[in-house]
Amino acid sequence: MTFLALLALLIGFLYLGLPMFAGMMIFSGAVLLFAEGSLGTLGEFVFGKLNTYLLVAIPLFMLMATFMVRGKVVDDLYHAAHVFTRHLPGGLGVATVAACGVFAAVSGSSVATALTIGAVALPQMLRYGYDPRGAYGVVAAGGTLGILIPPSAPMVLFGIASDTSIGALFMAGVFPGLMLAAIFAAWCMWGEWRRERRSGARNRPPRADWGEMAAALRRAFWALTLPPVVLGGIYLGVFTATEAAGIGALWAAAIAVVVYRRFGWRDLWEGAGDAARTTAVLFAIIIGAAMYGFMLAKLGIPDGLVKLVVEWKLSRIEFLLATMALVFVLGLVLESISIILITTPVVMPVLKQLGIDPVWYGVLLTINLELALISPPVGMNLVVIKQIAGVPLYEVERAALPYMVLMGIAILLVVAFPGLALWLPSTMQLGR
Amino acid sequence: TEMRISHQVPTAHHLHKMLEGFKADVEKTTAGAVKVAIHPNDSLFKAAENHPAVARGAVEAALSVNFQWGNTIPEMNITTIPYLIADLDRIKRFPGSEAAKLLEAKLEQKGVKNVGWYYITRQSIFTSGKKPLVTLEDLKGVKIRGLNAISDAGLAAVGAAPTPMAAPEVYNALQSGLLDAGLTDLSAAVSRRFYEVQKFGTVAPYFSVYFHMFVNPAWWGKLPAAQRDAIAAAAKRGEEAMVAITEATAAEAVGQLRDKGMAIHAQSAAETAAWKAAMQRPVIEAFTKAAPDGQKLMELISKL
Amino acid sequence: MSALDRLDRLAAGLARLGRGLAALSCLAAFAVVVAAVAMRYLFGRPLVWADEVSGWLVVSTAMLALAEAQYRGENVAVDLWLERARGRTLTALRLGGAAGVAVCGGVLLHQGWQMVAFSRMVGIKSNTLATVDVWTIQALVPIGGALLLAIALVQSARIVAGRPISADEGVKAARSIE
Ligand code: NA
Ligand code: NA
Repeated sequence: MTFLALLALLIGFLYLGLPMFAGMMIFSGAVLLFAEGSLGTLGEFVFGKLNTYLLVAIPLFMLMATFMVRGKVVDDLYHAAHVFTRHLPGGLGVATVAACGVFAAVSGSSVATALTIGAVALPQMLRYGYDPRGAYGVVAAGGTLGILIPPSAPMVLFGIASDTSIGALFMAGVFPGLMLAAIFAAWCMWGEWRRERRSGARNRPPRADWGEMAAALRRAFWALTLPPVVLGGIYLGVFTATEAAGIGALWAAAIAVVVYRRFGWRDLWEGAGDAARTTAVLFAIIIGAAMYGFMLAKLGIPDGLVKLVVEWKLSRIEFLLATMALVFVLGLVLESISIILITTPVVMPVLKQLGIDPVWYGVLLTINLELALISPPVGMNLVVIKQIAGVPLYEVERAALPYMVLMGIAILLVVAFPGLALWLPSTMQLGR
Repeated sequence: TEMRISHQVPTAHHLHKMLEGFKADVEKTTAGAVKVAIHPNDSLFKAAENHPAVARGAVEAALSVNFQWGNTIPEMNITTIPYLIADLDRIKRFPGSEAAKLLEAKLEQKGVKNVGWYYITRQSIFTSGKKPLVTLEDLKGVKIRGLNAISDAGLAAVGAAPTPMAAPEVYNALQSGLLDAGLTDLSAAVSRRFYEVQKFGTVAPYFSVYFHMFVNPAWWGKLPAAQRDAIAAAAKRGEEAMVAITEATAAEAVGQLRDKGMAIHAQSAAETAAWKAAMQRPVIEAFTKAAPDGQKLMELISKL
Repeated sequence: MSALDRLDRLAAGLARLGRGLAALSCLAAFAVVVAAVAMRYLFGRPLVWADEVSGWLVVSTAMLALAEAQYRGENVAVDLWLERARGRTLTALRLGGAAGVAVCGGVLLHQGWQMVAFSRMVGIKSNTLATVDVWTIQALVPIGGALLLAIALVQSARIVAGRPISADEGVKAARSIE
């Protein structure tokens, strides 16, 4: 099958170790040249992919993270998290998952979530002696919650592409998002507990007393104002989810300058340089993956694939599982926007025919898109963590592997219990 | 030969329905010699890329919204002049008219050959969450997502604050109250589910919209005459079919919005007159200032 | 100082220039977004051009910073094999990587140039700022491509000559943080 051959060839090509964006661009460009005789309007394609207002959030959230780190705003935050959770196994992991969940409610992007929490949390987790692999895994996976817990850019895109209630999709993501967060947290605790058992040393500090907790909270007060300011601003209609990134960065800078007095022009300049470089690395991969998706679309491959799945005349559950398997495979190399755009138009008619609630499907799709963010070889959150931690990519991939399994389980749970997704929107009378 | 058509709307949109008919028509009349492949929903090229993609031959054909040409062909904004082109007879007479030819010549200069004008809407809806927008007074200070710089002049003239917003953020912005009001075509208020976040809707013949299909001139020139004629004839039949499809969709949309609990107010003749008097002139001024042939086009339209 | 070292200096300079302009673009995007919120919320006067301009600034940020990311060896690769390879295999893989990036830089330069030429020819204009020709913004793509090409070529030449490249040091430095 052409698709499997194109996928295997690309993956093989990427293992040669050339930068991912270059590997995907060269591979897709070569196939296009071979099949079409030209690259078409590649310049416009690249420009159009980058010139997307919604992408503005990524450099701005990156800026916010660098401001928080350079201004040492996060030190107190993690000190507080440590004080509150130090007596638990994997306590900082749990705190990080919680931070991802809160940030996910601010940001509609998983990359932005992993980027911000990662830049903030990773050095701190390592500082407090957290197992590095556990730390990479939890931030990479926790970051993916950004698109499942509302707001969510991919859900908006899916809602428009499929003519499905965006409000219902958002609400449907809440419980699966919390469930996934709980699964991640439980995994952290269990992993650390096992590690302690194995090493025989149980050197967790004792539970903090009230005084200590209160002091830690007082110290972290200003840093803790960030989520309510950003969340409040979005939900009270002061700014959009994209603009929230800019306001978040402004607030972080203000705290660093006014409260901490540890932030100067030099930090601003270097923070912007760091943010710009990370943005470039991420966007280059987005373009490479988009080009691969464009190449597949131009060869008519997604249509063919989905038609194949359709022709097998599957039952509802079989169809859902087959589609999820397909999205998983696409997600090995593609990013979420491409996956939504190329699969949705072909899947929707079948959903209608089989009587599958598109909201339910949308949530399953979103969890699968989260999985794509941490599945090798090309996963944006893996790239983010590699970028922040400066470790080989395969270290991060290995750290994320158990979380891929956990997300797979979450997909199966939502397939088995549609109510997890559909109960909340139905009580709110949305999408009827 | 293959005719790939790129467009930006979802498959549920009435434009896509017409295109499926067009595909069947072309394939039948050319006895399968021309294969039509529709790429909906930005799946091949994004809206803004359709023009260069067609002009440079990366795809054979595409459809754009007329006013998407913005400042590149300012004359294409004519349908966004408030209350100018709302009459159904005028809309039916536009394709093939001198006015259409003027615009087609401009498109030719931008490297694409126009083959069809598809009427999409002549009814707009002003949606709002807190209070209905009935009088001009109601628009004062209202943050509303406008259409473009030219037509926003009309909203600004009555004291509203036209606010730009990326399409995927509009829903959230209406929900959170960042935007007080939305302005869109009737069927889009249904497909974009504005009724979930907006209580009130005022239906008015405020602006109209055409999608237009354009092809790569070199590809078109090389087609055998019989195929070219067959495509042109199918495009023409599509134009006619679209009128009925759009009217039916619009009629259905009002019912759907009501069913979803939106309080729909159809603008009365007196209200229309008042809004037109206040908003049309400033937009015409902005339009003729931006568009060198704007005045001439206005005259041609008035003869329709 | 050898010719290759001078070339490396040049590459470093280009990378730093790109990074500086990208950092400025990033800060400008930040300023535009904050200004847009302020104008709309505090003064009730929305900035019509804010979305479009901040989009451009993001293009600028990404295209101009890509060269420095390449110079520092930050462009992420599937490194499973790379990390284990030694000797000639390693040299071949590293050269392949740098040359591949050079190809991409060249393609971005060439395709970007064609895009700019087309937009100039037919006169595509910005939608919110009528005076801005879109090609002036699109030119960021070939410029970024050219920077990337120059740096990847220098890296390729140094790898062929068996000289270290700054990208290796960058990776090592990042790793030593742990
Ligand atoms: Na979110
Ligand atoms: Na992946």
